[in-house]
Amino acid sequence: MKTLFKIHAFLLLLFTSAVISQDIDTLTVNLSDPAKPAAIKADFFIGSISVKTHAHNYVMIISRPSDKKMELNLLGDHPIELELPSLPDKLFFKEGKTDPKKIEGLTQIQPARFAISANEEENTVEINVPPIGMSKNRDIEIWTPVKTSLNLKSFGGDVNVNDIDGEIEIEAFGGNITLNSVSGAVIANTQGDINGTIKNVTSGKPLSFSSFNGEIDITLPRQINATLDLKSHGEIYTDFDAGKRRVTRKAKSEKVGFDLEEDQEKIIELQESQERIIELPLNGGGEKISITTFSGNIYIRKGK
Amino acid sequence: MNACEKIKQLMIPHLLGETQSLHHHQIENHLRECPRCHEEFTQISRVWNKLADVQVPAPSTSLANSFHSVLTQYQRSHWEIKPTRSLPLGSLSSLWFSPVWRVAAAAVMIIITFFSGLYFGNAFSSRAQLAQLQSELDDTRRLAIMSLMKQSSSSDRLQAIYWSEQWQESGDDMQNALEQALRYDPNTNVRLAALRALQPLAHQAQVRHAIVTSFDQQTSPLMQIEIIDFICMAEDAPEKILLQLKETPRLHTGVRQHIEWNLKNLKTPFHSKEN
Repeated sequence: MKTLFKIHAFLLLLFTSAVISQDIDTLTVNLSDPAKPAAIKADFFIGSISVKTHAHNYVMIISRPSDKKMELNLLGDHPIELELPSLPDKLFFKEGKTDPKKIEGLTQIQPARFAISANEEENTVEINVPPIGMSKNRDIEIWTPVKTSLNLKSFGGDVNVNDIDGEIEIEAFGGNITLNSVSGAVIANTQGDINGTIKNVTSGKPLSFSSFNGEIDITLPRQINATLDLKSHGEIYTDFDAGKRRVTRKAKSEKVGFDLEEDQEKIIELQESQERIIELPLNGGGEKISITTFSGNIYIRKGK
Repeated sequence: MNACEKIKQLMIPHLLGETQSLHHHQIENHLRECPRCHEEFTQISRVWNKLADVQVPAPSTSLANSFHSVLTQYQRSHWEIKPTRSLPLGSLSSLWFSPVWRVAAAAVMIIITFFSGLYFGNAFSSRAQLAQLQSELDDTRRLAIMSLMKQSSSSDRLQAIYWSEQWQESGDDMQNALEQALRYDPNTNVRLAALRALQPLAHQAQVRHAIVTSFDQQTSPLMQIEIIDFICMAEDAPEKILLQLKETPRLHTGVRQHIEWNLKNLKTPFHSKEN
């Protein structure tokens, strides 16, 4: 009886693996000039995106069915109301791999129009995704060389980037953004949380993080020379020396023509509803780093 | 004139070591505390150092030949001149009026004038060159910024907007570019940076109008919140504008709540005092 159970369990496992592996797509894209940095673009993607680095001169994209339900809540209390149609119960197109027996001796002259595909031109890999409603939500995992620039837009899913050195541009509408040990320029925007560890900053490569109502938690190099522009209606914390912070107000109209830097009393009177930015120089100041969230907290930490 | 403007006027004398000790300390302190002035001063120093690397050309051989020919001609014409009068200084006066001393004195004067001219001329021309270079640097930077604002890379466009903030007077071209970025840039953070770069120009009615009318084009609730904050601070009649914006169809719940919260708080004593 026990042996029979083991056999059943093994067969079940085998069957499950076969079903799962059938729904995992892997694309490998060679770079035109492997000596030069790569660039990856994925626009309007519904699902999570994870970017990892490898030591090879190609980009590999693995897509699999999303394991989490995406919620497109772009209007607060009015989800999925704008241009984004709701996902249909029944998909218009059959998904999954084609039966190999059916294509024996045949040459593919067109890939499926509603599957994830990628094309490369001058080291830029563009990942094409099916229109909303034309396929199930999928998560993608991208393996790429360290020197890569990213331009990723995701709706509903999280974006996770590891060890990349390049220009990183992410808009995650509703998902969280996580950046682990990244270098170069970072421009990140979401309605969720942003957690980031910046390994190295480069002069002339800006860092800018914004969220509508999520928390922003950024770890910066300990010795960084930068000036933070911080704005939130929530709380702000740091373990950097905050002694030289200044509250500034950018607009200087005739009506509110006082300079907050020179008029401390007005700062006390300034109400929370008004434009106020905390300018915090780190290690003497330097290039601007902008961090803005409407209602979440901001945490700025010293890294290594 | 604010502190930064005063320091900017003193940057070049400070670089030349011409500031008094009191000013010197004030400038040094300000440069330590103000990252923007520090950056500006660093750039000017770089230009100055580049100037120092420029080699001053040596006087040409033709200049030396000309000098000698003038000297020879002068000697020839004056060897034959006799003293017209004698002074009671005897031999000393006759020595002074001897052609040898007169030629030597003339030569010394010419040499002193030559080197003084070289020295002071260099100093003045360096200063003029520095001013010209500063102007050219500004023009180049302006062109570079305008060019970067049109790049496909969001980080380039963002960096261009950060650089544009260093100008007190943006100029029409840059102001237009910032307004375009505020309305149409596909990246939220670039639009946010453009909004903040325009805010120092909020005393201009057309800038305020451009910011307020960009509200409808903002797809991000964060940008709409930022514009609402701007309206509350810079407009003379924020209530009227906020009531109009509140009627915007399909407004994000959080944005609508922020408008309502501001409408309620605009009636506080602080605001009425400012009005």
